[in-house]
Amino acid sequence: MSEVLNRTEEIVKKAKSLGADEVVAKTTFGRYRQTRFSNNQIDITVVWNDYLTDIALAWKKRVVATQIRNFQNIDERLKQLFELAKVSKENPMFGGFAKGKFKYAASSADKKLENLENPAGYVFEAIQATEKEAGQVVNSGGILFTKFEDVYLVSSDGPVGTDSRSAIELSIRAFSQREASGHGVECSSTLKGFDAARAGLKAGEIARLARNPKLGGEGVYDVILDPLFCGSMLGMWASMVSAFNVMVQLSIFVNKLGQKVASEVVSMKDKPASYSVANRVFDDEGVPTRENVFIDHGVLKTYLHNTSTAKIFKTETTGNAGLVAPNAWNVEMSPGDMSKDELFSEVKRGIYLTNTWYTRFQN
Amino acid sequence: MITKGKAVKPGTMDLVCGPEVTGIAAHESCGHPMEADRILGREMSQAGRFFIYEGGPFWIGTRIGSNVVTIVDDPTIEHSYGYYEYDDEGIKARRRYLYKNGLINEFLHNRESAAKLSTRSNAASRSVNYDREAIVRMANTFVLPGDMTEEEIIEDVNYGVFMKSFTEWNIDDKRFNQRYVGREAYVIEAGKLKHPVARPIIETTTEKFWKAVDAVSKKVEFDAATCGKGDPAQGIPVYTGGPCIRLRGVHVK
Repeated sequence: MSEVLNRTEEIVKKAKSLGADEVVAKTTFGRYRQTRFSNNQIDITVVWNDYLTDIALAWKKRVVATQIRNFQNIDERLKQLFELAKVSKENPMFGGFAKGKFKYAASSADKKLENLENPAGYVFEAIQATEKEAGQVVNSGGILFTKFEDVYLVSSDGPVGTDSRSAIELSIRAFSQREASGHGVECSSTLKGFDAARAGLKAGEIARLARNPKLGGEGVYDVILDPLFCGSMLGMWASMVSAFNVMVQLSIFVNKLGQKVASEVVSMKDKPASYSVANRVFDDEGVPTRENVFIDHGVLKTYLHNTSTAKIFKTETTGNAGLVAPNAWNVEMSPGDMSKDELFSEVKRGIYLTNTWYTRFQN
Repeated sequence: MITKGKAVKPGTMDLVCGPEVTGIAAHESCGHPMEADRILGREMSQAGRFFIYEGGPFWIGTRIGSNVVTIVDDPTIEHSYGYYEYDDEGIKARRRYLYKNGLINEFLHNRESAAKLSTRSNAASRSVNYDREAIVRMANTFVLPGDMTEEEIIEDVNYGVFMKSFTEWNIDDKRFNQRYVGREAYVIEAGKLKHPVARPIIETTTEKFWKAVDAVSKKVEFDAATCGKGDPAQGIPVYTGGPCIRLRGVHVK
């Protein structure tokens, strides 16, 4: 696969020859499989492979970016991109891409996810577990998704890296009645850590509990958030820790560094770990990724940076560079010391929220 | 609106929705629930199961709105954001009457959903790329215009709110219970626009919303939008918008 690395390097050289000051190109060779099911039956299995090259170039502090699919029309697209740079305005926030050579951790991708055998088996395993736990015939639907990506990154500023990333994800929602359902998810970076039945059992358990729902009244309640709900919220908070979103005021964390932004039992980190479906050993500038604790016992410790935002905030990059703006990779909330049963036992009048849908901010 | 807007006293009143609000309501509480693949449960994991289902209280021919409510999905509007002549399964595009004079009239279909419901595709099959599944999608979904001017619609309101645009909206996965929060909004008193209103909210159901409509303006306005659906996500270009509409006697807070 070094041919892909060579072609990616060739793109960087061509962009430089056109006059670009700095160029980063990242080619992802992705193999994706998806099985969708509804009403306890498989509807479709889709397989798609593609080469996607993300390119960002800077010319006199004008920064432009594009994507090229399957290495098509490279010369023409680079020329267009460079012409775009020439008519773009200077970006005063651009502080350059990361410079130097880096060493990266070894990839831990699972080759078994490159060509997953019998995806239907996992689906039916989950459906059967759902019915077993619900104690009745339920109507289940969902998605099984696998990916295997080889990633090749070349920067004109020095970084060169290859990575392989794999993941398997299952989402299953079971309806025990028309208005009663439970949702379970399961994900892993390797097949070894994946248990389809676990998602089915969770969906079945909640589907059973949700039977015969009653309308609740407005009021003050204690609320217990299931990990599926909590994870959705974590994703929103994580996006607001991006230094870019702080700078453009799309964040509740503006001017809050060092301040208390949550209760003391709340700690959050971005950890692109090997077990995560978002695992990666370098960011989009080629900087090694790392664990970043951004909320420590309720106190906001850092924003997530690329090289440019780090310079503006007079700090170091945190290894979170996306093609344009920094991103969180895999956000986790640190566990506490109570069991789920203990959480429930202390609630006299409350609501257990198992999932969320269309969560929006008002401003 | 934020600094000068006054809260509305919660209660039953008339509500005039501007094109932007009418458009989001048409898209979310008519367009999506009329997608036959979802009616069949094809996306039950993420998108839930709709209030429209075979053997349920709502099906083709059921009243869902007042006589003045006709909502179409029309890919044949030239130069529109959701324009196409043939869908991605080769079916010639045509205007689809989703709610017609207040009655549920026809679903949006691709070949698969049409076959399952023993009918024919009406050219709603769209895909963002050659290697993505073509699924049932909207094009340009809007309330057909009526015969009144916006001024005529407002001047016949004794007390109410004009919700010109929205800031937040939400609808449940049955596409039945919903909520729209005004961004630019004004009180209407004795047929005239008065002071700005801060964050007026209507919480209602698809049925109550469309049955409360008694007037539709003849002028329509559209915005280009991207409709999200599918996994992997397939953002597809659509028009949203439509005319001004007036709802009688709804709860606003």
